This record gives sequence, C-alpha cells and structure tokens, in this order.
Amino acid sequence: MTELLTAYWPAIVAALVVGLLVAWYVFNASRRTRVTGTGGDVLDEGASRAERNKALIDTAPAAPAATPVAPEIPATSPIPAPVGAANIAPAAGGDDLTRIKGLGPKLASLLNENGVTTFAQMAAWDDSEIDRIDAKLGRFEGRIRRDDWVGQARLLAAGDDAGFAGKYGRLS
Amino acid sequence: MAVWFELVAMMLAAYGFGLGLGWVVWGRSDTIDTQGDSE
Repeated sequence: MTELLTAYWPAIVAALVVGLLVAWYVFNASRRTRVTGTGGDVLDEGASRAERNKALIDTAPAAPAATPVAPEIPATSPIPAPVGAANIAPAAGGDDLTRIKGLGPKLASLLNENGVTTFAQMAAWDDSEIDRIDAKLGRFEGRIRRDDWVGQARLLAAGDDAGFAGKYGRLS
Repeated sequence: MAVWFELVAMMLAAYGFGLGLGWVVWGRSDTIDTQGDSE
C-alpha cells in the first residue's frame, strides 16, 4: 500500500482534484440560485427592512389621497371567490395565498404586508407589477415567474380547481 | 490482489474524498429553497 502511494501519489492527488472539481461544479457552478449573503434578508427575524415595512403598514398614511400599494379590487368583482377555499383558513379578508404552489406562509404574509391578499389581485399583475413585488421577495426573488403565480392565481380566482390540478398538480 | 486493483481503489477513495470535501465547502451552505417556502 505505502509503496503504491509513494509510486503513484500524483495519480491519487489527481483523483482528489478531479473529485473536488466535480463537487465544485455540482454544488456551486451549476446552481440556478445563489446565496448572496447570510444576513440582511427581508425575511430574517429582526431584519431592518421587515421592520420598516411593518412600521409603514402600522402607521397611518400621511395623506388620505395616498395611492394604494396594490390595485384595489372592487367589491363587485366579476371574479368569484374560490370554491374550495372554505376548508382552508384564509388570511383576514383575503384568500389563502398558500394554495399557490411554491408560495408558503412566509411569502403569503410578505405579500399581505404589501397589500396583496387575494388571487384576483395576483391574477391582474402585469410585468411591471411582478417586477415590483419580485424585488421585495428577498431570497425568493424570481419565484413569481418561475412558479407562474399569475397563472395559478388566475385559475384559483376563477375557482377552476380542476384546471388548476390539471396544470399545476393537485391542490394541497 | 492485483496492483492495478489497489491503485484503482485508492484513486476512487481519493475521488470520493474530494467529492466529500467539496460538499463540505460548497454544498452545505444552502439546502433551502428546494421545494418551496415550507418555513
């Protein structure tokens, strides 16, 4: 064994380097998402941006004519409420956004903080609105388009559970 | 045991060690975001 090691150590080292290169490629270079930092995320506990958002929501608006954060949906919206939402606890006054695939409780509360509470609102997002919301998602940035939240919201807002299940999988 | 067999075994072990080392360095830092926001 030791004779082999002394005789062929370059081959052993080469195999080690190859292993490292493969691991680097698999775990680092080929990743679609990247970790850009370990702190300062809007979703972190005690993050200043989250506190700022909360403060902005908690304080009364300076002027009553201030523009709303998200487009208001009239009470007589032609889009009906989702049929199957009754057995899932919705956010106060809105839909349960976690029914959307790839959207969990944290993201749902983040969206609620930004005035997005219903599927109809999400279904009405255009590109600029998507970009605006996307910029606030922190490490989840890019997920709106990747998981097609707008398409999912459109089906959920229309109450088309069968269509939703056919396109995105069974409702959880 | 044939010499080439021992050599191949040692090279495989070194390759695996390199993979493990790479996982420790680059692979452990981010195991989140694999299947949605489940937190």
